[in-house]
Amino acid sequence: MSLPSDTMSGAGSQTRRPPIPVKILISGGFGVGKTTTVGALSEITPLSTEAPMTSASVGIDDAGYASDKTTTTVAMDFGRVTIDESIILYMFGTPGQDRFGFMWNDLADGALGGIVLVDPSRLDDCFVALDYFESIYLPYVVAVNQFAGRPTMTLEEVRHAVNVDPDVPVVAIDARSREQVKTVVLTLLHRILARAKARSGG
Amino acid sequence: MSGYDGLDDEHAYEEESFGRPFLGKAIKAESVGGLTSDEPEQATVEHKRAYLLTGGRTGGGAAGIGIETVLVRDRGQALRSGWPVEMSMIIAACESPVAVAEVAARVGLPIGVVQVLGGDLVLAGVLLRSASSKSLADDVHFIERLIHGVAAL
Repeated sequence: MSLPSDTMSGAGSQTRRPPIPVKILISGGFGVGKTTTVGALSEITPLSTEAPMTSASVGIDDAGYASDKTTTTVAMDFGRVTIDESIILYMFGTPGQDRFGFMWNDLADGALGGIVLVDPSRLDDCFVALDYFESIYLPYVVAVNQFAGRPTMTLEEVRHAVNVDPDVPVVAIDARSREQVKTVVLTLLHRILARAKARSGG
Repeated sequence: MSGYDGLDDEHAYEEESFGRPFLGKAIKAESVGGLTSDEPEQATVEHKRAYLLTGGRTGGGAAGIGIETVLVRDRGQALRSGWPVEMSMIIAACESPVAVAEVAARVGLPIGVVQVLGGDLVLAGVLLRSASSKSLADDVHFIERLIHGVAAL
């Protein structure tokens, strides 16, 4: 087994060791669909410390086209996917606004990778997340949420606009689709795998 | 108010009036004004400040508990009574393996509090904690196993 040993005392632990949590972050601007993305794949209804946004934040948290949005993630929310008896995948939706940056170190610590959700009508909302993931060398993919009836851009246009490295995948996603969210998670995992191989292979 | 007509104003105020969102819903506005309350006998979590619960400590403590660390009660250990109510709630939430963030959401405590108290319970031998996946980011076999698992969902 390649599982790392741990400070837990072996004595008296008749209970088998708890499953290893794998953490990936779902980030992006306000109202871009983080909670929807988490919920599409999660086996539990996403848990959160979400509270309704009040009129106090109108003008601060600009939901743009999503003007019928009545709540926003002021803390964070997350979902769970049991992979097998010894691995649980946790997806954490991270607050996309600058002013919640104080939470990001806790969220990112130990994370395997990230998905940056992009709303083509509000591209610059994703820059905080991109900058943060790049600054901590976290593998990530850019997922462009396809909002029905919205003006849209091609993936190449988005790639050019957000200016990510050529090897960063930029993919389309319908955040409501379990299959599409799964595909994006797999894209991220393959990127993580490529990096792991590059490092171990020298 | 335009655009937020779906919100019940009174409800929204109650949920949002506490200005530090990272403390979540567990601590309501009533507890901010002072320790005096109309229901002083009600020793619920809502009426305690986070730093009282942790003795002023923050972070994962000596046990290095992250928000995704999975905890489970050690069935090899006899259940001891006499834990403070918050500890008992955390222990009860860990009958099956569950992440710190999930414990926090289910028992209504701030994540930071569960990190500290959960760490205490790990050090006390009541809870077992998962190994960290940190060192597995470069483990090719582990990532491949993960990919197979997700693909099979």
